[in-house]
Amino acid sequence: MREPFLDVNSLITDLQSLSDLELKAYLATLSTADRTAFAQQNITSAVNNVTNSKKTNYNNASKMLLGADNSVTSAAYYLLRTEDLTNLATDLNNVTTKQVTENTINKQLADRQYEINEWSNSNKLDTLFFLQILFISLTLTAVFLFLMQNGLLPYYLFGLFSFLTVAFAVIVLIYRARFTAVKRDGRYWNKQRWDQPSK
Amino acid sequence: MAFCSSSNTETITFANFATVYTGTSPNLECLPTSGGFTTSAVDATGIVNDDTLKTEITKLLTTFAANPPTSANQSNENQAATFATNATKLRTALQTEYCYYYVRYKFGLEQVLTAAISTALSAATVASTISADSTIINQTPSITYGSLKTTTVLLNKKLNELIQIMQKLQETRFKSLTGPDSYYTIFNSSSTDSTSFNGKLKAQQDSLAAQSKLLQSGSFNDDVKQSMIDYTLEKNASSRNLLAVYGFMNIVAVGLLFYMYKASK
Repeated sequence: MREPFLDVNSLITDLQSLSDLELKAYLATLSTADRTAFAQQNITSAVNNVTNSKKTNYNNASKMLLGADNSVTSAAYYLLRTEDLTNLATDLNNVTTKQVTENTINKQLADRQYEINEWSNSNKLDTLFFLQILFISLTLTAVFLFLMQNGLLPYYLFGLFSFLTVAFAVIVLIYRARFTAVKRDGRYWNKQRWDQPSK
Repeated sequence: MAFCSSSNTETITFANFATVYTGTSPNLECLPTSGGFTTSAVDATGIVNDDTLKTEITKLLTTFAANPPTSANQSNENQAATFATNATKLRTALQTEYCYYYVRYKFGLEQVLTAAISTALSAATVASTISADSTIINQTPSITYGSLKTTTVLLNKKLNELIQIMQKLQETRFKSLTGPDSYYTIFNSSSTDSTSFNGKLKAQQDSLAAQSKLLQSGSFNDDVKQSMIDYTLEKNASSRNLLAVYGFMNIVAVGLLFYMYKASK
């Protein structure tokens, strides 16, 4: 909305209407003081109308400008807060990324620890197997010895059976040890290592 | 701000009603010249042409450092507060200058109208003529009716031009919010645009949500894995005990064998 351009001359022309014959006749009936008061009243009224218009126009423009400035300020603060939020989210994201990475490493460590424990336990069981074989072998040898002492088993048969029993235990020991050292996978107990096929 | 409440205390007389506003910091002069806009920039109805207004607004915004924050300085946390302060200074300067001319215009208008009919009223016959332009209205300083009218018209022109500056400034402010190249548009564009503020925030938010989901889903697995490790440790302990038992039994067996062998000798 544009401020109407006030034409002072038009106001003067309006006041000139006081010179209309009818008005002139009315004024002629008044005393000088009354005429002055009448004119002053009209002047005051005209000035008030103009100044009120000026005041209204200024207030309207001022309020609109204030509103626009406030909108821009609010938008600026809004964007600033958005950037702050983005920075906060970035920091938080960095922290959680680190946590996820650590968590992944921990998971891998847990998996590996499980594998190590399983392998170790299987190795113990394998050793236990040999100890059982050895125990049985020794017990059998003791039985053979008992039989030989009582004349139920000839010496050469005792020697043969004892040798076979001990040899079986030694073969089991060597086989298991070699299998573990050469063929068994270092990570999974029940998995064998296979040679790569020749190209 | 109340309309000219603090600026209206000045007493206006013929001696000072025509003086030109000379703003002092921070209330600098907002009109381009002491006579307002040049005649060539104003049309017959008193409307200032758009380009001239734009130029003046640009000058004012630069003088008062009241330009809205831009993408270049948005990250400066004091920028919004600085803008608000400087925008207030600009509005105050406009109001101060407006009030300065307003009280003078009001005085001038009253004097013009009073002078216009004083001759007619003083005549015994109620003459139909008004004062001539050369009629002396005031002796010291010497003011003629014509110069009084001219000054009043000039004051009115300045008031109108100040209002037009305010209206154009308001328009500029809104354009800075909604225009295609406005910082508001740039920062507030699509959330999928990774270069926009909202886009960056959305990207971080999505990433955080994904991390959160990953961390939360992993916690149960972690418990299970820990339980499995505990179980394997127990199995190892059990196997270790069996090894010890069989080790002892083998020692006893070897001892028994050795004893029987010695006994047979």
